[in-house]
Amino acid sequence: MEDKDIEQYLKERADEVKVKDFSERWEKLKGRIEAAQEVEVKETASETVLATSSNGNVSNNAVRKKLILSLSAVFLAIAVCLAVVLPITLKKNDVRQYLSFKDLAASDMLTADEFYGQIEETNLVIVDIQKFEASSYLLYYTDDNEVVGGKFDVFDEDEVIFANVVFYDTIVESSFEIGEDFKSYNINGFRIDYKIGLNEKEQYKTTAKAVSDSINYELVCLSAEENIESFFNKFFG
Amino acid sequence: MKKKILVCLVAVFGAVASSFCTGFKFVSSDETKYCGGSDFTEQSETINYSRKETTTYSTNGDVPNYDRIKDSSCANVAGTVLIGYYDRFCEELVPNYKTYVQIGASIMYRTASLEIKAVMEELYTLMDTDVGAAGTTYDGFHKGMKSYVNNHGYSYSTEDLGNLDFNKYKSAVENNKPVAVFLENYSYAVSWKDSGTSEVIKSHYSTVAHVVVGCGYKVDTYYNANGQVIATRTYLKVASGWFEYGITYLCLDGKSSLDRANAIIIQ
Repeated sequence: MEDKDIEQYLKERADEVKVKDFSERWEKLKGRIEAAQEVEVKETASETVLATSSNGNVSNNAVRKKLILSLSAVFLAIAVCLAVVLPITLKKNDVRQYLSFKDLAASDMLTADEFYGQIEETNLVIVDIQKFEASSYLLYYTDDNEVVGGKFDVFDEDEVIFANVVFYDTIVESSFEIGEDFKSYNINGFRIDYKIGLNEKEQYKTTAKAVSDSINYELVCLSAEENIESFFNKFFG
Repeated sequence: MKKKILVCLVAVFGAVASSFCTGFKFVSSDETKYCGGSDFTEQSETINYSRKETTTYSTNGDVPNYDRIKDSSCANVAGTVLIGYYDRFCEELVPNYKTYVQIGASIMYRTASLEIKAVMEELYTLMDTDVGAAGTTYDGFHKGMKSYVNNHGYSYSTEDLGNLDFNKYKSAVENNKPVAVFLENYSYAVSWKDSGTSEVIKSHYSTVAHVVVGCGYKVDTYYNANGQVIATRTYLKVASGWFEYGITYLCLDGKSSLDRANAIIIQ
């Protein structure tokens, strides 16, 4: 057979081939195309997963199961950690916020040097009491041996006032109650609520609570004069 | 048989005799140990009234407000409070130290000092505190006080107020004699919220045996609209020996159980 004859033969055979409608061809190909797309996604998610095909379709059930198990394990681990860590953190914060004097221990009586030495090692900044005749020092500690307060006496020779003073960190809650008959006074970042009483000996006994952002004071003062605010200016100024 | 009985009797007699020789002491189960404590439960009471009358009294300056320090017990603190009070009149009780400040005619006691700490520590030993068990007995308290006071050249005596005769108590404090009060359990009144027709009284209750020093009192009498007494609340003003409570009010009227009370005289 010559080349021309072969060419003609092939041409006639090609003309006999019927081309199916697009819809028919799409129905046949559609399944294979979707399977191929799934295989592509799974290969991106896991390098170890291989898309296999038995009859031209990709099987991905095993891959999905492994992914679900892995993610479940991760979420469970996070939940367990939170369940353990959160209560501890919150409880720590709760305990720190609600210290009362019943939670504290008092030190032995201290010398002035011991008192100031221990105060310096804390974050507590107390007023300057060296302008008075100060005495009777002690400190209050938490169970962790953290200093959170203390006590001392001061005598002001100029104002003729003697005061027992307690001071404490703002994390300590005191049972001191401020009544409606208390007066208020502000100085140097302290709000002072105080009440003056006249005793049977005609001297003035003042009880006061001074509150600031970082430290609180409670004072009981004995004075010959009613005007206590000049003493407050000196003590807190 | 008779021989066996005789042998047993001799053995028992020998055992009893030897126990006396070695100083063995039969301890009464009634020997309460007073040691104080820090566990309290809150209680509350509301009284509705039309009119209220209050009577109060306190010795000048109350009594010293000392706190418990390390290695001390409530009885030692109470004893030191008494020593600190009487040091005003008997200056050698706490040598070289003035326990108070005087402004005009008024007295205010200093917070505890190193000198006061020394008194407390000495009383701890003299009162036999924590010997055998935690705390101090009633007898140990008075024995220790008598020793301390006598050693400093003064005399120590007491007046028995039973458990507690309130009229005798009033008479004692009004005559400047502080009272040692021995408690089986007790309540401190911590706040009164009075609206004018209703009062809410909050108190803290403890079941631990304790000793405090009384220096005054407060009596609230409540009346209804017809002028009849509907309630009376009586409190002793005391040095609690505990820095949370300081000088505070001890509730009577069944809220505290008092073993004994003694007015203390040192001169």
